[in-house]
Amino acid sequence: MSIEGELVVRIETASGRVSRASAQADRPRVANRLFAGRAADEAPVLAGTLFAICGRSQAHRSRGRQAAGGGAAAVTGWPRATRIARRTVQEHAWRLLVDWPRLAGLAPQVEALAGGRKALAPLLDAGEDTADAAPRREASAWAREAILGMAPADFLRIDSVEALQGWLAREETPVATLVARLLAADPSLGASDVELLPYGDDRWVARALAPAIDADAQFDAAPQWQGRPRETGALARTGGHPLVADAIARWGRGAGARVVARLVDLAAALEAAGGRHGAIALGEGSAIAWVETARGLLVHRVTLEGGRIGAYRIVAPTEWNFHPDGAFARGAVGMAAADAAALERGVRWLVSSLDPCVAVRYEAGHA
Amino acid sequence: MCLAIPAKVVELRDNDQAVIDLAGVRKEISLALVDDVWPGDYVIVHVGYALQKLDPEEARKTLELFAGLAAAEPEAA
Repeated sequence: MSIEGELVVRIETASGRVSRASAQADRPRVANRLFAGRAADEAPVLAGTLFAICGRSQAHRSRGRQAAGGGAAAVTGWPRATRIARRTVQEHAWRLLVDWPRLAGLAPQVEALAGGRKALAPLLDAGEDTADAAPRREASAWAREAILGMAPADFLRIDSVEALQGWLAREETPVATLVARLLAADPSLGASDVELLPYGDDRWVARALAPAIDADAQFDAAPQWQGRPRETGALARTGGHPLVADAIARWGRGAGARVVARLVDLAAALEAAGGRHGAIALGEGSAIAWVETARGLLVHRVTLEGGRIGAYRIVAPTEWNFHPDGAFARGAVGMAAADAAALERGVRWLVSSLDPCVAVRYEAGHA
Repeated sequence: MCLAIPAKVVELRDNDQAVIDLAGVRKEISLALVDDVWPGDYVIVHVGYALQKLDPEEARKTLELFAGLAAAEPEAA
């Protein structure tokens, strides 16, 4: 096991089709080991230090939990929606500009991504309630140039797959060319019947998810809701947008709809106040905190014992989407397997559409 | 969740590439997303790219934490 973690994707085939798919997140589950027994006010610092990719989000969650859980720490740097939005845009841009072009055999736009990091940096420094609209304007200008070919607000007005065709045909950015190619190939790739995780209801997280986590020791590894796995991420967040809803209706909840959702989520993150997050005390020394990260719902659940951390659990988006019976596993079954190279490309594309936060190792064999 | 393990830059190469040392394992990564990185600096790496440069003292503390983890009994999966 590498400490960085790796997602091992295993595909079994029979009679020219994928008969079984699984994904094992081979990464250390360290939260409880690291946090338990420490003073409550150490948690936010630790979370920010240890978790890179969603580090900011993790640190935010810890602080939120701290405030809600009655910890002694001063709540400084309360999660800023702009930070969450910026991270979301950055992560989506990484897929759209670097990872997906590579998968599609196109040139990765590393310079455009680096430009985006610079353009988005002022958003990080901007205060939450600042009247200064300049950082947001700069970020939007970059997104228009590098990704959307139009202002994010205008992109959000595209309300059907048919209307999207015009955007695709104009190929104003390399991303439009990429998306056109991906959607032309097989927009239904990996479509699954796994339902989307509820989004937008803070009470649901506190009232429904917290008890579910507490009742199931394996929840962090294989989370589920009402006895079934769910999909989290851009598709779950934007499923109510008319364009994304149309994409789902046509192609199902698979790679094609997720690409469209990614674009809509990116535009929405630049336009709206920012990401959704919250923290709620569930009693003395007990709290849950959450944030909608680029990859989906990230939850920290903590209980204190005598001023120290008793239990600390983290439920991350990758565990929802790569659940043994989740969106990836169910979506991959049935994929054509006659051509081994094409199968690997398709599976890698499906995996990337669900955006695991670790590197992927691919293994295939006959059932 | 994604762990942020500090990696030490040991060698700069052409085309914005660099060799890093991560817990004794060396590999080549891209520096395209960060500025002003030199051998001896610590960076956070994510799937082949340096994401950010770290303060050396912060890096040292984090590495100690991870060393403590590696020494501990692994948690049941």
